[in-house]
Amino acid sequence: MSKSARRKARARQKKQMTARADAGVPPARPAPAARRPAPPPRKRPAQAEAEPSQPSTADSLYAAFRPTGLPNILAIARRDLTALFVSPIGWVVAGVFIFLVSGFGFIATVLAGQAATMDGVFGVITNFLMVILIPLVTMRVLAEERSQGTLELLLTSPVREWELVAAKWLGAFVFYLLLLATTLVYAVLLRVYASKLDVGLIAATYLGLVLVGAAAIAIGVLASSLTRNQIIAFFIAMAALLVIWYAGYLIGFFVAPPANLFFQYVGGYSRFQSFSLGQAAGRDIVYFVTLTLGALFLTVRVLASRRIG
Amino acid sequence: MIEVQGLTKFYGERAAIQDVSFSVPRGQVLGFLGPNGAGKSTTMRILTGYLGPTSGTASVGGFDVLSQSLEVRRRIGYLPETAPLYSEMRVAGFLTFVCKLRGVPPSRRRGRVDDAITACGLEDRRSDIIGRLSRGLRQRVGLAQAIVHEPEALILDEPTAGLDPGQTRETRALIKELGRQRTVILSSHILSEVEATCERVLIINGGRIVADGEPGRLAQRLGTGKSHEIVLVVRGEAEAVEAAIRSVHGVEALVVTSADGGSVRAVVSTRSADLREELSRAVIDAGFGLLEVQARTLTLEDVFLQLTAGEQNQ
Repeated sequence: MSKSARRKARARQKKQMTARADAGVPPARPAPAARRPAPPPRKRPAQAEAEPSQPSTADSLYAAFRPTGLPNILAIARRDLTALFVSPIGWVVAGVFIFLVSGFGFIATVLAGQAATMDGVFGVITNFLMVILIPLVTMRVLAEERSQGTLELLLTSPVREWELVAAKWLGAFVFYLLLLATTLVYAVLLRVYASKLDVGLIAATYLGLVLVGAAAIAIGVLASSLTRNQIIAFFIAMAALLVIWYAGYLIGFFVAPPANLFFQYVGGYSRFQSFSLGQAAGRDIVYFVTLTLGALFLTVRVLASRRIG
Repeated sequence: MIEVQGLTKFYGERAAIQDVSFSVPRGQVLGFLGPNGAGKSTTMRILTGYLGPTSGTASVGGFDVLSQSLEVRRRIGYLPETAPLYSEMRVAGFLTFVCKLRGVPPSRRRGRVDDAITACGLEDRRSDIIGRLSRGLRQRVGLAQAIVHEPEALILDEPTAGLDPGQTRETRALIKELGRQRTVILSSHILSEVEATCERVLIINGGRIVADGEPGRLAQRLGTGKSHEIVLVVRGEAEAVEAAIRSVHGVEALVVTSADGGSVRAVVSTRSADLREELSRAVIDAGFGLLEVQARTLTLEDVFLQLTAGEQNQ
């Protein structure tokens, strides 16, 4: 049966239905409907119609990369990123971020304060973006999937838990990188107009920000996996980030040596400070990478826990 | 195709299903019948690998749902109770995304999406935003995502919930058609739906399978020895109609209510079998217009009352 014939058949059915209704017969109750002859069966279109017999290059590439999980990760991350820009939340976060960075970070520090430094910009990012805006972006990633039932769609498709978690992290991380990229405008402005500018210091700080962001997003994804309520996910993420960034650092002041060294060592803020002083130390990189992978690993375990009887 | 052995799932202290065993051969359409909370969805979620059982095993196409979950998930299409949809996406875009997740090679995606859209009657909705579709249309998009990768087995949790009668009929026909090439498990709490679409029905109650068999025979077997109800719609005066019906031998109880258009609706209970012919004759002989005669079909509630009553007696 061709497409048009099928359409006609459906139109015919509809007409019959309305005719019955006009004749005063109650519209199909479940029971009598069962005994009526079934509508003409739909024929599935022949596969050859749409599917070329020779697989294309894209197909062989896809077949080669599929076992790695990469196509799944990219597909989900891309969908997430698109959803961020379709929903208001992405624009609100971007708007607030750019407003704060420009206002407090650049205009107040550089133009009004007459200091040729990126410190203002970086300060806004570390103090505000890390603790409030990242939880705003990550709160929905898994909590919303859970509440909409789409988590069931993803996890009953041949998608492994770690692929889903990696994709969720990647989607938010790319968004974060885009936000961070907007601040490069100020770095360029300073480079053009300021006489002395420590490019190495700025580059090290950016590296630090990328690493801190990666860890913060991983923690946000973990928080989002714990609940179906986005607001709760937001507060869990914010609390966790506050504790990890600042608690160790603050406790370090009140504890006698050598314990204070330990707290300063585990506090994220003190780890980040070395980047903002221009050093990209290996142990600090390891710290943030470990934090990221640890949080993502825990997220995978949380998602997998549903399958334990 | 699908094998389930001694499946049990506890949510905390409460058992959602207990010792459920059945097997579905390739190509069979199996109906899962039971009230809400009977354990239908739990069983289906275990089969799809979304939940793990507390004990027991299940396999799809020879692959264990726990240890070879990915292989199982490649072979199934699943429609959960509420269609899992991204409300901000468009229909065709969503189905393409699902194709990617289910491993459809790039060159085939367009064809598969078109096929699924045609099969589910969504041709003129393909670029609509899912969030703006009606409940019935969303359900159809849900069905489209389950079949878009041409799975060997389909697991459909209440596929016709929320559809209007016309759509329900079309969906049943589509499921029947799909069931010719593949294995289908569908759940429902409507007996007639299972009767219309399934070759075999499993009745589940309180987490246990209470009956298993062909739908017609099951209803027949469970229906015997039970009083029948016949509904007549007659044009005429209520008291006179009542008298005419009462004159028929075998009428045990009668409730007459007036319906619209000067007609009355009479519900007749009898213990002996079908009295439709005798009743029609009596009404027509008495000079009334007979508008409708209907033997009330066995409802799920009846079946259950019987099954649970039987359990208590044992």
